[in-house]
Amino acid sequence: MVQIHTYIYDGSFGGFLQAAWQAKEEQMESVNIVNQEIYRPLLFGGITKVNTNPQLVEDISQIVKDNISISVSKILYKAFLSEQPGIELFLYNYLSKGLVKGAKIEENLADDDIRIVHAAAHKVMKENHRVKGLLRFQETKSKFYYSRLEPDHRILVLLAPHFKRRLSQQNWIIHDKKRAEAVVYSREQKKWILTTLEADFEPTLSDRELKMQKLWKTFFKNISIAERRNKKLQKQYMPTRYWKNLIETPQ
Amino acid sequence: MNIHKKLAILSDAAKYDVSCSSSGSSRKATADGIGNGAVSGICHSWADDGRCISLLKILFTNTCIYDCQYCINRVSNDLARTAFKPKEIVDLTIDFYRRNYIEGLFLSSAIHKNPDYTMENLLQTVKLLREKEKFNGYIHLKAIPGADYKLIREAGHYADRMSVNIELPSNKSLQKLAPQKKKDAILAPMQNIGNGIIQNHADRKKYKKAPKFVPAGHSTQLIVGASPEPDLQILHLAESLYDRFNLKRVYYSAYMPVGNHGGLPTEITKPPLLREHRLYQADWLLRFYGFKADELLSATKSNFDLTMDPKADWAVQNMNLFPLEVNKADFRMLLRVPGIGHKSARRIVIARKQSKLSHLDLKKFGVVLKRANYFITCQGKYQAGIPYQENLIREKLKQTDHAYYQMKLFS
Repeated sequence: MVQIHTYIYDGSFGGFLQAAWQAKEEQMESVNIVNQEIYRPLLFGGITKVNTNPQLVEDISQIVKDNISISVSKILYKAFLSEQPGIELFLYNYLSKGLVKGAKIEENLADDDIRIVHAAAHKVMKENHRVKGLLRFQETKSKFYYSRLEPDHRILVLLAPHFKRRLSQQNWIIHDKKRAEAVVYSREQKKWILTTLEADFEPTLSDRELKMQKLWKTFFKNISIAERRNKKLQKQYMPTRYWKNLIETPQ
Repeated sequence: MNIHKKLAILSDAAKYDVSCSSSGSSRKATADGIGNGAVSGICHSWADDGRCISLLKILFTNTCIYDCQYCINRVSNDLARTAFKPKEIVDLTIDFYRRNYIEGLFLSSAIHKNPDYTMENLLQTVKLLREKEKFNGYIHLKAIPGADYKLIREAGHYADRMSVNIELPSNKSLQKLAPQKKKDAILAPMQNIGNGIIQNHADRKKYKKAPKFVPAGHSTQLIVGASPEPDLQILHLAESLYDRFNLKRVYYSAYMPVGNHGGLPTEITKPPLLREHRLYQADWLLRFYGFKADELLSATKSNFDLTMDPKADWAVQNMNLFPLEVNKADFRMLLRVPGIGHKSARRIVIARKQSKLSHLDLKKFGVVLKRANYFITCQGKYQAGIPYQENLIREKLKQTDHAYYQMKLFS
């Protein structure tokens, strides 16, 4: 019986890359790569706990870009953010095949490893795009703009650069309540950081905010054409799981 | 009148304009400004009618000197009238944008006093937004037919997109239902804007700093079902607008009974949504699939079959061109297979370089075979499950559930 050797990483993409790299170098016959947060010991097989080394991660990341392509390195990162259970193994296989075949690996669409990773990356980008529209900032008494979401995938780090470009003149917070973390942007420092923020955090809203919300609700109601009412279509584009963090109330 | 009431009236009055696009602008953020353009466009919500909301879509005023019978805002209609002040629109736009409700502003207007006066109001508003507030989000602005082109041209340097609505697809219908509007007055600004965009592209190649002019292109809207023109005539009009005026989009709007004129159809109680949907599908075929209007319809068949999408309808009438071998067919022909779009065609062309493709391979990388199956072979195999006969395939391709939805892949 072939024993599975498990590499445990710290949950970061860098940690994963380093674990995958080590697994490749050690040429174990059967490999699994698991986030330490969800790791449960198996009865058989060896374990290696990987301590993330930023310099090493940097080097590996450069090798991936040079020997496969920048495009593939981006795809791997996005697919990683999907947090799809077991995605690490497909990423590992993609990486191994990519280091043999080079940039052309991306075209191998009939290969299951490639297809599954592309599909995961696609889902992440789809949600990222959707949330760029559906996110709602609310002005608080202490003059920052707060928004919350519960996304399927870990997209905060993808959203932050978009809103930094767009809303650089206001302080804002995007709060992932599901993962109890947030990106916080400061207009003075022109920088955002990823930080933890408890899921039940609730800011106090400004008076002006409540007035704006009322105006937006009015607009939302009046822009719809009653004779064309179509709830099915509305739900198809805007799944109901996103509704609770909107300001407007679809009905 | 308070801002709340105004917004209620002037968004309600603007809702019949179907354009919702916020794409095509790559306007950059500035250090001290607010907003930027997203080339792909971003939808921020979907209204209860299923249409996307990406822009604050409002009229400057709904007070109108015209009496167009198909229009809710016609002078003879008894309804509450009001107008925004430019500052009010600017503040609403900025406040909504800061909260990420919108991609920007879609500002239109009824004709108050005269076309020049109306256009000046629109111009003043967008100028404030861009220059005073340093707003770099999306702006879609109406060009008012009959207004001095100087005003329109100046506005075009602030807007991302402009549009002039033709509304009625023939001169005859225009004379009957909107006698105060003149065909030439509508077409002239469209032609000027179209030429201006082409000129601007050339200028910007030579001088990088030449100011942009309507960078996201211009569009128009045609009302479907208020007048008797068949689909072929509407599609011909759209085709020539794309070719001659360099238009980015033609929107189609199913006629909603809002008039009381003898010349309007009385039998319509519901908007012809399925017909509108077929026209959008056909429009897509013109712009992205290399079809011509005359391939899709003819003098003997001048309206689309409502039970079938136009591409499938075309394919069953051209059975001699199929079935197509996916491992050999050129990209242009792959695009003509019902059920195969740009993404699938591209994937096929890329993947077949690596290995010969089977039906299973196509399925794996996401080609939907439901309709395509009748028109393709993989390595010589035909797997549709029924003989290759027009009448049988036609029966299979009929859509009897009358599903319709607004196409909005690229809008």
